[in-house]
Amino acid sequence: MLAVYLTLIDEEDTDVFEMIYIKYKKLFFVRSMEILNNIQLAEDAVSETFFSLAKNFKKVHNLNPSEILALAIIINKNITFKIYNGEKKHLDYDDHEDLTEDSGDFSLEDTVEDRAILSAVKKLPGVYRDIIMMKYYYDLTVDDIVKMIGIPLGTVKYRLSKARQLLRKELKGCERP
Amino acid sequence: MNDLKKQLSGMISVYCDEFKSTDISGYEDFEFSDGFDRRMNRLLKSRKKVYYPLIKTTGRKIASLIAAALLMGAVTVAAYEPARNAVRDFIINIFSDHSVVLYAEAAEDGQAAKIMHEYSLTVPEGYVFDENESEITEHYIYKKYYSQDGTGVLTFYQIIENSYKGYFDNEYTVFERKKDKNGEEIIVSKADDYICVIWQDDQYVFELSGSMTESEIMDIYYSVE
Repeated sequence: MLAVYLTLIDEEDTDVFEMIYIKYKKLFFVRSMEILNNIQLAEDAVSETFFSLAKNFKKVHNLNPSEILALAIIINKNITFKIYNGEKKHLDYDDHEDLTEDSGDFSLEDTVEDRAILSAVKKLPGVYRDIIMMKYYYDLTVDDIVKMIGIPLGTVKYRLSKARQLLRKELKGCERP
Repeated sequence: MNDLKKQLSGMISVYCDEFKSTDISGYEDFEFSDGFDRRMNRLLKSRKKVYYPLIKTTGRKIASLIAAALLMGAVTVAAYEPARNAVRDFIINIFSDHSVVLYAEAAEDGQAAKIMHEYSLTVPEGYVFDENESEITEHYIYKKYYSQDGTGVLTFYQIIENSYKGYFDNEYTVFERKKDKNGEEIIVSKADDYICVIWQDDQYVFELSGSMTESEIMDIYYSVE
């Protein structure tokens, strides 16, 4: 499938992709090592990150390098935890309390102070912060996210729903007068 | 940029700044393994080598497809009698470093054509359907199977004919026009142990790929119905 991924990267994008890889591969590795504490697994996490980014580059090729780097960071973190959870055979990055389905609507920006959402997102646990960013900043679909970080559809939906719940809770009291 | 996205844009610097502040002391002299370097160099090298200008010029309406696969194990499948027309409309364009196999009757912009019937195939024993990797859309169906031992992959595309475009690296790929046992024309591309069969019927183009012998992949080919 390598060739498929590669065909999806426009020529003008290749410098950004390569720049991020060359400049930051060791940082990605160290970040993965901090969690996995295993060189082989950390390398796997880094390579999987860049293959995933290549595969999905078409969806984000219009973004600036910082935005693409941030997405790569998100992908790397989630893939690293996926590998970690696979090795440990339990989930540390998700809790699995009963989930109340929400509507999926997210128009809180109309009712709260301008800076409140950013502040609230910063306070979210990383896993929920990441899913909010992927969905609402990068405009990725749930299917896109599934493919990008390689976790089950149900887990993505759970995280998204939980993230919305936490965000709403965090934003209570921030409504405009 | 909507308001929500504008607010979330503040997170970009949060992610990047935190990432760049990662303490790499203890890893200054770290060297990635040869396997990692090979894998990533292949990714980077291949990016420089292939396809982009063509993709850019044909852009939005094409589906660019090629499958590379690994397949191990025996293949025993039932044969069917699929109705297939000759691959009369394919063109193989040979460029300096890649080939393009495309359907000759390119669709007019806006021409409607949807998948109306989903074809099935019989995969070798031990292969399981990968739901996450597979896709079913109005214009193409992509099915991916992994062997249970994790070493093999098999891919199958069913695409509306005017959307098909496949890219192959002709530095390593050999193309042959052949006829199957029913006399129907097929295109077979081979690169080392990777083999791909392309054919069409009245409405669709099909692409079946795996790393296996021609005999093995043809068994799967005959199971498509």
